[in-house]
Amino acid sequence: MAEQKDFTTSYKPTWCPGCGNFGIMPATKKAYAELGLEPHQIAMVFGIGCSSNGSNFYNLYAFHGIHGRPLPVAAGIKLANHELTVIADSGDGDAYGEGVSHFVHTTRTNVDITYLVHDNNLYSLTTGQTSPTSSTGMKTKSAPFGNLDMPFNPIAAAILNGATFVAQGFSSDIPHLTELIKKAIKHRGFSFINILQLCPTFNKLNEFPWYKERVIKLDDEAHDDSDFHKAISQATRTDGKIPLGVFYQIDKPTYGDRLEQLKDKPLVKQSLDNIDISKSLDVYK
Amino acid sequence: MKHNFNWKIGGPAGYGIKSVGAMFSRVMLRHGLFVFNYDEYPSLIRGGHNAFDVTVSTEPVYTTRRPVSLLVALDQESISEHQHELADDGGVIFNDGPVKVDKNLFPESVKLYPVPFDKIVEEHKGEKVMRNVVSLGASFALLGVPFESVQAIIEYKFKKKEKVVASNVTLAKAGYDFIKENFKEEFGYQLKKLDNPGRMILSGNEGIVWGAIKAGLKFYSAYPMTPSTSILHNLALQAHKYNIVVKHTEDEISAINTAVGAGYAGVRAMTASAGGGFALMAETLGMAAIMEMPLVIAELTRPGPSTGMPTWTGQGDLRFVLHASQDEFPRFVIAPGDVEQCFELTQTAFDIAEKYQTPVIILSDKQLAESYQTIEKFDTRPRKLQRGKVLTEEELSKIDEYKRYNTDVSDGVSPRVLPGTKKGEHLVNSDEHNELGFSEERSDERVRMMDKRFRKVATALEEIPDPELEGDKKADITFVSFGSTRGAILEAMKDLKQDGIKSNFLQIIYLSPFPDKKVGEVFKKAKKVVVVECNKTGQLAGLIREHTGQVPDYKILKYDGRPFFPDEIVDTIKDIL
Repeated sequence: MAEQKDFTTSYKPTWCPGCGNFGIMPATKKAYAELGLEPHQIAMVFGIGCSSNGSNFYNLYAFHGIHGRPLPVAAGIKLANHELTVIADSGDGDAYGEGVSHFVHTTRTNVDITYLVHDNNLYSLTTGQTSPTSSTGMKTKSAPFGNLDMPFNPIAAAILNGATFVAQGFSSDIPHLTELIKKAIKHRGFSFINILQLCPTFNKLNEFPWYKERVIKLDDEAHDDSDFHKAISQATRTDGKIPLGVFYQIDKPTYGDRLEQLKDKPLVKQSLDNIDISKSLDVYK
Repeated sequence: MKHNFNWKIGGPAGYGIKSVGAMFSRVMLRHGLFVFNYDEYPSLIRGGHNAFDVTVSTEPVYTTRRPVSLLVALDQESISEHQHELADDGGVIFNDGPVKVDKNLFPESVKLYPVPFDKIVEEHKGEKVMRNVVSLGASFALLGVPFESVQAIIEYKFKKKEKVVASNVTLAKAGYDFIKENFKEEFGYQLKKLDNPGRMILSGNEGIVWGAIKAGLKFYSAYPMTPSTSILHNLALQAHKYNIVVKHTEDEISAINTAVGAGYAGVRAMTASAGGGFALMAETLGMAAIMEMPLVIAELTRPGPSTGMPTWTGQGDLRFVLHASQDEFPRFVIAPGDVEQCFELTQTAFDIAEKYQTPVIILSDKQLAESYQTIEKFDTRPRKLQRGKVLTEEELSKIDEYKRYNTDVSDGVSPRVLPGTKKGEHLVNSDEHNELGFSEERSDERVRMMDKRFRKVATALEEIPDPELEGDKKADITFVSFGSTRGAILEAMKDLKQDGIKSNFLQIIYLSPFPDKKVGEVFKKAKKVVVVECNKTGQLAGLIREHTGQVPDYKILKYDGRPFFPDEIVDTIKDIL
């Protein structure tokens, strides 16, 4: 059985002291270990950003791709070899800025992968610009007079567009986050966790005390996570509270379940010997 | 009496022009003749002018020939657009009534055949679109094709839909009989029946599709864009039979990234698009290269820039596919020139992609992608696949430390390990990296890794076949080109030979890595070199100059969205000599 440390490489983390990623990464590794997963069974696909530099710190099949694109890569891996546990890992810029079309469309496919988004409301690797989840009025290097845009609502977007598991975690609550990640991986279908994350270096607006005043646990509110409308209403609260936990989960056939091509075995295990096309060519005669 | 002829039908989009063109071709194939089809259509579903050319020959034919022997005009525009394409001894069948034809516009030798399509359709209570089968019947009556062949093709086309078959046969027969009753004089072009040893008619894109399936394609992701879309359609149809996952993704960026993911997981994966979609893929192309991923991309060129002319042809993307994405990396660019090469080279592309762990671009264009031609049966015998270096769990257990990007490889190719393999965990990285895959920006490591990747070029140049001269050994003219222009050049060479001009042809199939040695030799030995390309600036000529220092004697360039017609090349050569 693999332990949490078995998912760790020799590469020294390059995150700032106090970075929320120091909460998210151990929660993720702990979830892997507690689920009994071995490093070779996991393909983890990263984009570009502070969080994605984490690709160097995970001992498993890590894929450090380009900005905004981890979801299609992850979907391709899963459809080629559905025996793998496939995780995509992004920041808010990656997921909701550069790659938002993939986010919206992948939720529709219900492909059986897990998407972890580190949401620190800011572009941090590029030293602090407005992100899609920055609040209106927030002052950043790219909006020194305040952000003019409405923040993107990833939780509501995911529920509306067909994600079958939607949750929110917090980088400062590792035990809670670990349990969420375990649930998300166990869920069959597209599972998504928006993970609220501190950025002590650049985000001076959404700091720990700010979150502490606002976060609440859905479990404490007896939330029915099978109810679509209640999930949407939790995702669009107007009382300033930020719910943590599972907003919505539902069982539906995954993308792979609906592919006859995968019934027998994963694509990667199918033989390429003696593929005979001769009869099919008769239509051209 | 002539047995080689060019048939053309024109009418508004939505009139079943393409469908009747395909039926015409199929009948010719069944009579043992060779055909080449060319479909001219605007980027519209209804309205606009469509035309479909079928070149028919008793010997292999490689492109559309002009002049037109028999023109079918379903509308007035077919006359105004195409009358100048007509042979002096040709004929025009036109929709008598709606289409007015001024005899004085044609030489006296041209035969005019007014056929009241609308009236015939009305009399037999047919649908308007069925004017197309009336015209098919009329054409075949003139060309001496027995009516049974018309009936057989209609039955084949509409399969078991008895009512549809019956009404179409009735209308075709009415067209057929109208000609027989009203025009007794034999038309100057007549069908000559030959044996048919089971040849096929298919398009370049279908060649790519079947090459890919035979090579073991397991994953195809794409977004529709003319002229690549028929690859998506055809593969989607075969998905269940051959266990291929075919995914129409939200955009081309997703298409290429999904294909990279599937290739990384160990299956043969492909994507395709036109230049516009390929532009969106450019960043990921470089990602695949630095991460050393196998990937096959088909780029089907149409005229640009930007949206350009979506349904027309051109070869203006050569430089684009050679240079797309940031910085420098080895890539393969392979340009098939006919349907059979599409089939063969697509299979090769998958071997190369896995062997070299790098992107392979199959460069084609609308002319090759969507033109149908008669070809001999494909070689469907099993072929040994080259899957490249992939380490198994057992092999890994004998290694102290697995290095994904091991630089101690003379050929530049470090063994892969597929995800899921025990003891092979590693990072594949779009950041520059060290041998283990970890992000690394030290100058010596950077140089080491760049040099390792580029060793693949030297390895490839040893392995890929040199281009070969076809045609006369001692030639007055040496043509040099790439891709679909092959067809027009081969046809032009036939005509030049008849006029006593000796010529040969160097088709450069591998444009990257570039076979500079062989191309340089050919240039040095040739009497006169003529580079032929469908673009404005002579991109291939520039590439040759870059690699060999050689400059062609002449460039024949065309960039009006139309393919080369052989007579255009012949006329230019005669001017040159």
